[in-house]
Amino acid sequence: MSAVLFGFIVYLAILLTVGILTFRFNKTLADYVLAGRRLGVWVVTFSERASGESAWLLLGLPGVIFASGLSELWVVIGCTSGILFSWMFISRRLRIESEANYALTIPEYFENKYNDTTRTIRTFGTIIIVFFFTFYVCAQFIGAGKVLNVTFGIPEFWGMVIGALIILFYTIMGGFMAVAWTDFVQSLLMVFTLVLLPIIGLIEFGGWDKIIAHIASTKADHLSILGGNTGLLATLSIISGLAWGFGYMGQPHLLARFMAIKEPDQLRKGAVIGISWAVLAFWGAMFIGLFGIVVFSGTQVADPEKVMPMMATQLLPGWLAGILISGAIAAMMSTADSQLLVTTSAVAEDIYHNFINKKATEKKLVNVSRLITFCVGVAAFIIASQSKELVFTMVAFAWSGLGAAFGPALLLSLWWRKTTREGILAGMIIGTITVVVWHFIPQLTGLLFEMVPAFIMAFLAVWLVSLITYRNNKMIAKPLN
Amino acid sequence: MSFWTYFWLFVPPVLLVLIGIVYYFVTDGRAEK
Repeated sequence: MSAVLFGFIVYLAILLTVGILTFRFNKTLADYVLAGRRLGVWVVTFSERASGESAWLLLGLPGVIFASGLSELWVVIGCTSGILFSWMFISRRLRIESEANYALTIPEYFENKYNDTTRTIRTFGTIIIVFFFTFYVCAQFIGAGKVLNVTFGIPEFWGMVIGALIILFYTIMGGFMAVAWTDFVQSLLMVFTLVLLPIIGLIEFGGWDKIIAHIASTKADHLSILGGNTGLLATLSIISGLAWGFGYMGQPHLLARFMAIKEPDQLRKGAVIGISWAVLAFWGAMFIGLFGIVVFSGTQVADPEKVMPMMATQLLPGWLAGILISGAIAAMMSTADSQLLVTTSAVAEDIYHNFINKKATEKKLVNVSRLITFCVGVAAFIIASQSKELVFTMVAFAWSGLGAAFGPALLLSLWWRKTTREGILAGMIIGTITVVVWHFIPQLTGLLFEMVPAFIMAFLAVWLVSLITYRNNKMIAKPLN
Repeated sequence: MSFWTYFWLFVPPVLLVLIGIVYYFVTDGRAEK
């Protein structure tokens, strides 16, 4: 057995063990979907980072930098700024308010805070979560197929099967506790990969100056931060890149991490740990893409999203390449498991518990949740096996959908007292519709990333509708105790 | 590479971490309402 395969199998065995060990922990639904709000700051932060950055960061981003060059730097700056903003202005307030409003999910938080007796916010919120997360989990399965294909020569389809089976097993068994702890390990592995690989590349190719000179002589336009654009086009491309950062405040699987910490005040420390991780990981991913231009100059790379695993196998001894490639699998798994769990919690709590079986016992809820996790995983797998889309495009769609639907609504609900139930609902619906419409009109997508118009429209919708409906409204936020 | 490319490549990461650290100290002892 090769060293790469051995390292990878050991890693997978650890994940399965965590699933089995944490099985008995899940006695209530709060345990299964939020680990009973008992987690420490390091686990929460590393889990938030590992869930936040998926196969997109390890495969998609190096791929797009490799193909288009430094014009994608704005995505990196936008994302890292969004991460910091979310930690500073969303995390602590959300943790405190969600507990005060007895909420386990984001739709539930909105419903309880605004006394929404009609259940409309919760129903719409759940539909949005299930719709976009199915695509998102799908993108992760496709990522698994690509990595296992490059590393072990397994056909992409069977790579997806292996990835999906392992994630489903430990998520169904261990719930949030298993997911958070496996995320912790995966997060370390991801940042290790993203820091080590560019450093080795730097040494291997004789230092920074040599690498830049090489790129300048072969693909000079890849060193331009405007990608050769000027005027309005350049401005639009910068705005599109930076807009990725808006997505962070609307991702239910990341917001769930903030809600699961034991001590809200610890989230301040989390902000410093989180942004340090993000800076190392994002700049590392970018340098992998950039150095890849030198590694593969003269070779035809059919799929740019395979540049990271190809570079690892080319530059490193087998065992080390195996560990680093496990980093990409880790990124994919840690995101897919969290997303599966959020979708599960939305369906179990917001649909099953609320509409189908109001008197369900906690044990019954946990078991129903396990069944839902399985069904969502299988649905995502079926779509993944039929899809020809790139990880980057699929994630961009789901990311903007969730970011625009929940981001402005959550931000205003936490910071603006006049936000109303109608405002939240308007923002969620307008945000979702704008993303879907914009995404399917190629002329618009080519000009501007769908996140920009969708976020602005959703923000305006929450603000304007709240202003109109604030007076004489019974469904405004209750004061906190 | 131009000065501005170097600027945007290396200044934002340092700045972001610094803002995070400042935020940590500034919010010390200040409870969220």
